[in-house]
Amino acid sequence: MGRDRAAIRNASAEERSDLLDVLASRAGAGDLDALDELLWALDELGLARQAVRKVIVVEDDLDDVVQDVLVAVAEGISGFRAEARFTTWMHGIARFKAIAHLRRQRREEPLDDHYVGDAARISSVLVSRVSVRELLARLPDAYRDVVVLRDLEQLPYAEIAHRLDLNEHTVRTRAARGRALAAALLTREDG
Amino acid sequence: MIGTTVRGRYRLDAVVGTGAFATVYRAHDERLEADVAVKVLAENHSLDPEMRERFINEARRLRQVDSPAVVAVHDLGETERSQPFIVMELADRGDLARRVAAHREAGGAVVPDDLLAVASTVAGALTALHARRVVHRDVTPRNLLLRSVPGSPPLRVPGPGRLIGSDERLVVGDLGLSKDLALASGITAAVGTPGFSPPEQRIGSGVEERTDVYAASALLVWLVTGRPPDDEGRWPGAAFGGWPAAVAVALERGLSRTPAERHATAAEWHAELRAALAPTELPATVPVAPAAAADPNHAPARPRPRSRRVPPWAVAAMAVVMVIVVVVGAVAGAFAIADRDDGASGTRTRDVGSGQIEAEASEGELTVVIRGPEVLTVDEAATFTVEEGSAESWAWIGPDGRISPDAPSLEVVPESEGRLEVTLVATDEVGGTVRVVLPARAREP
Repeated sequence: MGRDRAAIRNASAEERSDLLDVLASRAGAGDLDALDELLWALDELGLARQAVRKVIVVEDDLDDVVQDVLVAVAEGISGFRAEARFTTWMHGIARFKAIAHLRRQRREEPLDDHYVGDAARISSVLVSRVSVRELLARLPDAYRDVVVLRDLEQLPYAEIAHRLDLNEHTVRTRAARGRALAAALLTREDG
Repeated sequence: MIGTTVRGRYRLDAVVGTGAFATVYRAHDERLEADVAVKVLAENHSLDPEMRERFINEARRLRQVDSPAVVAVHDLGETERSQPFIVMELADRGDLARRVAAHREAGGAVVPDDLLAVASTVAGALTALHARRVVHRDVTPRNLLLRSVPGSPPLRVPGPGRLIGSDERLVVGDLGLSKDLALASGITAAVGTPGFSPPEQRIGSGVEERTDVYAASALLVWLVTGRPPDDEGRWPGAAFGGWPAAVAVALERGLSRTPAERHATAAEWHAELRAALAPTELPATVPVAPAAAADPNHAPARPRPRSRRVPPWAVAAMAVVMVIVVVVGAVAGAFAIADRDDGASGTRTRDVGSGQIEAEASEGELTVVIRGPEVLTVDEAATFTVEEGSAESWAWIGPDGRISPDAPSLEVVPESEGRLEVTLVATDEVGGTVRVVLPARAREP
């Protein structure tokens, strides 16, 4: 895992695209580790953010849309075709999610607490599912604890950070990626 | 939106320009206490992903360019209605189209130094843009903006004065990225700037640096002859009075249909023009006006004294200017400032009897009036007509968003009750645009 991440991090733009294509094909075939790596790259290397920034101007909106993109990538990855470039495919998703966010915002102005993006939707699905602990058991440890504390126990991020001895930023990113992975698992079970 | 303060910071004071996809306001930045220009993407296009992306990209690309000859971008933001907006330096002295018209009206002639000053600014701007791999795509008289230079005293001379004052700076305005897209997707159908765009841009194929060289050449043709070349790049050529043949040769090369036959870079284009306009040795008795700076990397902000040399054809041109000065007499400082802010950019409507209303809007000398019924009947055709227009071309936008370019009238068949709008967007030959909106309503028979 660590090797993959270092390779992706240090790659040139062209090599990185190739590496992401390989990961995306594996993730699309059901490899959860590959999906985890892919989400890491999108999130940690700011690739999803970069894509969202092309359409979104206001900083406050960025985080929400980036989370939605992660979930949408995780949910849709089985539909990713290897002929396409993953980055192109992801940019399309980012664009679509950004516009969807703006539409919601325009309808709901001022933005209320019932904002339902993809990440929020997955979060509430997790709460309502009986089999959810089973599902979450299949998440990598680092994500499972955070998602359980956040979406099942409904603890604030600061509290989770305190309990797990992590900083709040890490908790937020793990919650985002954990939800995205859970989304992929849910999609697979429903499908 | 006039009178509102966007994001608590930019108070919109007046509309200074409207297009099919964006509106430009003169605004006041309340945080920095400065007047600025704010360009807002139209609400109905701001959720169009491609349009939005281009608009935002345009701001970011312009911001990367470092040149006093390119309009400065101060901020990029989003209105409360999710419309992205770009905050730019304000062109408080209007644009080149208006300026040239006012200059000619005041009896001024376009002299070689004017041509060189404009060419230098444009070449400087294009060189800076191209260095960042940005093709401008919209070098037109309407998009060359004049801005006062704070702190530099106006140099007034008797007579019509110079085309660009010593206290002014010429800058190249925003990119044509979004405009190109609007054109390609039919949003502005007839509202591009024909005459200033080369064949490859009009058919939407590979746009590159030489696309801008074409537009810059067309701009100079417009400056000396008063008209841009036709779609084939044709113009009176060497026949235009009194200018050296080398200038015509340089411009014709810039206007080649095949991009490869044009100058490869803006700098090369500028060098050829500068050589063509270069003065030759003359007796020292000839009176000489101060010449503008001709360095492509610097906007001609202040005139720089140059050697006492003047070419013979310039003497002829100047003699004409002198005569005009005598005739016009003391039109001292007749530097009619062409401010785009005439406060009249909105549509005015009036009842003309028999259930008909007229809507009128104007922008500079371009005035358009359309007429139609105030009340329509569902499932019955109603006709809207252009009553008056000095426009070169126009496009109707029906209540259903359908676009009909250049038709003298538009037929509308409402499908349901309610308010509706018929819009006409018109353009004149230098790319000025005016938008007139006729509000009506439909009811059941």
